[in-house]
Amino acid sequence: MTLRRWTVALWALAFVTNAAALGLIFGYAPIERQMGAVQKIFYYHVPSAISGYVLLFLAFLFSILFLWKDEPLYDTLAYSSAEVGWIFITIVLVTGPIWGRSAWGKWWVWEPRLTSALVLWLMYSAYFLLRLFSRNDARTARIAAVVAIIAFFDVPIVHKAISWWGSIVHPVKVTLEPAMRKTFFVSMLAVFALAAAFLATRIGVALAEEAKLQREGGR
Amino acid sequence: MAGERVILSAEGLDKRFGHFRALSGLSIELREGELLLLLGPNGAGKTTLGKVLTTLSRPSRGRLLFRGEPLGEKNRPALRQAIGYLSHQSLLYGHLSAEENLLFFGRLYGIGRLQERVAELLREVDLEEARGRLVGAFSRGMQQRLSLARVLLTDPSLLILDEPYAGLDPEGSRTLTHLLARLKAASRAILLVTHELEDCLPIADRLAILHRGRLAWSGEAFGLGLEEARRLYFQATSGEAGS
Amino acid sequence: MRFFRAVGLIFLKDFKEEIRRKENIAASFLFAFLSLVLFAFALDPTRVDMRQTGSGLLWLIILFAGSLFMGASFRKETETGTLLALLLCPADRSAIYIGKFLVNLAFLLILEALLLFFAFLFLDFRVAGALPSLALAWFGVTVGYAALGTLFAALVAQTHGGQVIYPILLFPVLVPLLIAAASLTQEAVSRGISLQNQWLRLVLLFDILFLTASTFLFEYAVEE
Repeated sequence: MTLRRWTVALWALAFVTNAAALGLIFGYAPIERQMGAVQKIFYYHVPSAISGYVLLFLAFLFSILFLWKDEPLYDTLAYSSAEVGWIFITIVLVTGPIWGRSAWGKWWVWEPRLTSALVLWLMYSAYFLLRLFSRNDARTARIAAVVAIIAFFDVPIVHKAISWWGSIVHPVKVTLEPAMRKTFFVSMLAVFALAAAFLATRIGVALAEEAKLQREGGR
Repeated sequence: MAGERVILSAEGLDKRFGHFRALSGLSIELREGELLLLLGPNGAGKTTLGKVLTTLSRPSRGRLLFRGEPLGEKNRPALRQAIGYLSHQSLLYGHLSAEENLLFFGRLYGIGRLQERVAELLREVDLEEARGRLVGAFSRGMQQRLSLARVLLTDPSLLILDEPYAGLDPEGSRTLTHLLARLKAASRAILLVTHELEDCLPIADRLAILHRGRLAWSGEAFGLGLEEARRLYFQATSGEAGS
Repeated sequence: MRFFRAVGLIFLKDFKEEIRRKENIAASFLFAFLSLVLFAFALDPTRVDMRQTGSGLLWLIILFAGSLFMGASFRKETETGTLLALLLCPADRSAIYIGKFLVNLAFLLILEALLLFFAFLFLDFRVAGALPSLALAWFGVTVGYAALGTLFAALVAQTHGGQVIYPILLFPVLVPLLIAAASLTQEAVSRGISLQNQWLRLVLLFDILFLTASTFLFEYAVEE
């Protein structure tokens, strides 16, 4: 019951903040000189990246807890976080090129942060492929937890390696005017609220699925 | 009568595999010089119990006591040293010879006088001629004999045997039964999981029946006849598991 | 001491077994050689600067061929249940991991040496003079590769479709190593590598981090 209340509350919050953010983005924030209106996608692109990383960090934490305590709940929390995190990284990979097209003229450029996101996406896609292949195998949860832990340890190293690898373009340094900064702040809250709402919903669905399985298969 | 020293005991074991409860509140004792026969329908949790007792699997709840001491980091190696496990898989390396297999495991367990022991055992299980042959080329019977040799090599105080009679011909079964009787006499504790009552009921001291992860019945097996044992089994496994 | 003894025993046993088995070694080495030849067809070595492109190329081959070999390292232990036999031993279970890791490391290094030789022969990939730096760099990268490769092999050994999933799981995590290997190889054959090289330090960090993490996580990967 409490989860449902939280979920509803979070969706309400997400609705309000996103409405506010969109309003500010299109009504208040100035149009960036160089890139034009497409630059506005930045307001969702960057917070999505941050949300994605935070969620994957949560997946990492829950995976450790799962291995330590052997409580199925932690595994549920881990894969729910990983799933929503993966969704947000996908958003980053989709919004990035849209922005990139106007900034650099090409759909995809090997810009370090975007490239790191791509590798991350590959790692977590593999995580889900693994879970897909072994449906309800109890051992799968443990294996997935190990993968999530290794993957997250790798994140900073991937970043360093890719930034040294060299990029054709440097990461876009965006200087924010005060109006933009305020808009950005609101859009950050909006995306975080959205992420939290998604997570709460996903956890709710996962717990319901598991409760059903428990009634059918357990003792 | 069998000795009273308890080598390994389990208290309140629960084992969950995700949502599936393989074992519920299971308590069992393995005593020196005693053969405990474990029966139960397929899926009752017999193999799972074997795996928990041999530390291959961690219980979700409950604990194990080895010679009276709770099982922990300190005494786990000692427990493993004392266990001999036989399952339907051979647990042997197909690309190594019979002798190499025994030498490998013997060294891992730190067995002294290894070369002699290995030669002795190979003679005992009638595999002396085949010692240099790769195990992958062995017949099932030969593999089983070698598996037995591997178990005996480490001189275990505690034997956990999961369906050891499966696939044995009558002579093989008789040999196994004789061997088990000898081990009992040498104060080994034996847990025997099986479907084949005829072979081992005569030498069993106690009987335990598992049903849906719970101990449905346990008690003395001494003097228990085949018919009676069968009746107990059907009684214990017919109802729904108690809550 | 029992730990190192166990590691040594497992290493020797596994090494002997792989040599007798032949199938994993043969498949892996032949695949590497085949890939080399295919790359020659695909790239026309007379027109491509092997020193530039060759570095990355060789490491791609090592990744693919290596995963063919390592992926099988635990699967074979599940055929007759020998993994259970190893887990039953009184020795620390991470000894199983380290023993297997060392076997994988050994075979990977042999594969790499052979590959370098054939790359010289067929693709005119000259490394004379750079050999010590190259050896150091390649050894470092291989340690990291073998460390995670062995852990992941244990993870997928009992998974349905594990052979297919193995490279998909492993390769993204190895991206930093691949980048480092390509850069280091290129630098080694052109200018040489100093010990302060940033890539070397990255590789060292990677190795230490993942060897430690894998040793610790291994038990969770193989428990019943």
